[in-house]
Amino acid sequence: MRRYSETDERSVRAQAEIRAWRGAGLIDASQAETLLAGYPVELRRTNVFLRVALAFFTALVVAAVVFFVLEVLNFHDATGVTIVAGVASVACLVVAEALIGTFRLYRFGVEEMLAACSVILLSISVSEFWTSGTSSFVAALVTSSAGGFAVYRRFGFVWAAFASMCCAAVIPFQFARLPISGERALSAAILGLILLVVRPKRTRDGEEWPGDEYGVIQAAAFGGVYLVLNLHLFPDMIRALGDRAGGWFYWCTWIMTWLLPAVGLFLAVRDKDRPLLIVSVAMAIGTLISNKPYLGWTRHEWDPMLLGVLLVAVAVALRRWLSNGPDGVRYGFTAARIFRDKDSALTLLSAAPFPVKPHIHAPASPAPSGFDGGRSGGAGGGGSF
Amino acid sequence: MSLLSDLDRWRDAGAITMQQHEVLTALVRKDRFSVFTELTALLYLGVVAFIAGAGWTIQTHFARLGDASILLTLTVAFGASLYYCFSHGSSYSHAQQESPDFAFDYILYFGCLMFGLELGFVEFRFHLLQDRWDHYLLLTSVVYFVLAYRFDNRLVLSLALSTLAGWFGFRLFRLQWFAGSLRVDALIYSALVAATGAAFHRAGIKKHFLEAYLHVAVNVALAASVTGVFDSSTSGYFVVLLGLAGAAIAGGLQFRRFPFVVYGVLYGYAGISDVLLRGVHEDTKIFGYFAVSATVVIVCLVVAARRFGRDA
Repeated sequence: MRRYSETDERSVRAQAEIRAWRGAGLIDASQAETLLAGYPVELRRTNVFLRVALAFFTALVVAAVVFFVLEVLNFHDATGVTIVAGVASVACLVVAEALIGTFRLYRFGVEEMLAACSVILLSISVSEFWTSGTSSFVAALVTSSAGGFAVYRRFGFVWAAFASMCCAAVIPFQFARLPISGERALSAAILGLILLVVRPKRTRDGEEWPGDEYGVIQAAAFGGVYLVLNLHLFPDMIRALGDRAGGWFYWCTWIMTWLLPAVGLFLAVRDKDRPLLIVSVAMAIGTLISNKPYLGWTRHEWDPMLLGVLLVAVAVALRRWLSNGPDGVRYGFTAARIFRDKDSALTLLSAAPFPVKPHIHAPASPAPSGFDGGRSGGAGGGGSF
Repeated sequence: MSLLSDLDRWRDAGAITMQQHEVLTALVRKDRFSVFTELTALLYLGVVAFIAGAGWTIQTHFARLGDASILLTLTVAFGASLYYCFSHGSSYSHAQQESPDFAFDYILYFGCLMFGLELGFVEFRFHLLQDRWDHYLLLTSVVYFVLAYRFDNRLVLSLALSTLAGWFGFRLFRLQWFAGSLRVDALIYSALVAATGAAFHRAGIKKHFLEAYLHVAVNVALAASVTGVFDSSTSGYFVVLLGLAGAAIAGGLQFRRFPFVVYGVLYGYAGISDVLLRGVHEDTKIFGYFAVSATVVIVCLVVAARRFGRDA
């Protein structure tokens, strides 16, 4: 049973939508006030920055209290940790419920972190109770997965569903007797099952709550299947596969690396599903990057340039094609900017690929043999690259 | 479909016009689905991937490609980007300006990165400035600043600030003004950045750039002072940290810029905790301190959130 009523959930989303319209200049301030009045919400919310800070300090309090109790009671064995973590888990959940009930907190950081801590502590408790090595970790993962799902069902925290999914997907990797292909296939099957369960709900509800939540979970499951099956995304994976790299499983995963982005893009475009669209584009880029190693072809230094040209060409061509449609729209898609909430993120990203390393000296040798690592901002301007 | 029915109701009640109803209904029904953000993200990734590939290619094959061809290519790329920007861009204005077209900002960004690549290559191959190679950083930074202001581009402004940080750190380090102390360099750099941003803001020049300056300045200053507190037994850095953190929190609350509140709280808490826990070795006291102090911070943040930061 959900902690927040359907009316509250829908009102919160409607308010966000109205504010976005106001921000985009589609309605004026007085109209926004009028429309917002139609969605009264008595929940206490805050902005994302304070939410993150509150979550951080809540985690700090919970961790400190648990360790404090362990120290005071001198509980250092498994039984003591099991008891304290178990009790703390229940306490966190009770406090989260009480805060929501009393103060009507909604995505406030505190209640979210308490719910997260409740699951983590329960997992620790179960893990300590289950004393054997691998089994205890599997038990912790199963508990985390189930707990995350329960927290999502109760409070509607999409990140909890995501965490639950991740824990479930990691479980097959803990069984030493499973072959690597089996681990990956099983993990993909778990994520695929989640996808199959969520997709009909997403299709049924669309963007209306809780369809928006299902949309994010669906996209995450889709991306998860891809991550598990693309053997060349992380170098360690393929090394672990060793001689079996050329077998049937290997080529099945290669096919899947092409199939998944294609299917995802098709569904995302057909349904105008933004989370799935973003994940599908990311998967497609991942496939372009990993295809050469998959086929055993040599990677060239200019490959990123080709990728860059392709990405820019796709973006410009799509933009042009959409803009030339009647009223700048084709099949319901437009390249025009409507909402303006993503500007700051890109600005902050801009300096990220070129970190500053101010105190590395220029090469002393007049005829160095090669470029030697990035040095500074400005794309390495002023010395060796 | 409650929002759609509400739109109909608002139209019938006269809360929104027919035209607004049409536009909003199209958005809610996804008859008009904007992919602007996704396309710009693709552009950004494309530019970054291209530059990374160009750097890697030059690094590996510069002997085979030849200096002249590399320099020519990079110069042409930079020149073509500038030509495009000057020929397509609107005339300079102190106020915030819209990009004239979709790819404009990224073409300028691409040109700037190419320029940085070119200067790096020049120094690497020809060592024109010898030990004074850091002047390339200053030159790059100046060019980026000029272009950022000329074309109202925050991407390029961020590049300018990071490049200036590189020059500043290297310069002061080499001059041995504050031997071994990166922190003082960092504090001077952040003061300079904040003062520059404030001066431009006061002069009414690209006032919307101020926040980019302040994000960099506040983070660098707080990071420098908090590491100073961690490493130093004197109270100088602690006083600086308290002042900076307090100013960040107060300014953030006053102007509703909550990232600055969070910077102030996090860095300030780290510094204060370090000072208070010095010499404390009992685990119970340490855990007790964190339990109590973090609770106090939560209460303060909740009060601030309720009073100032209700929504994003």
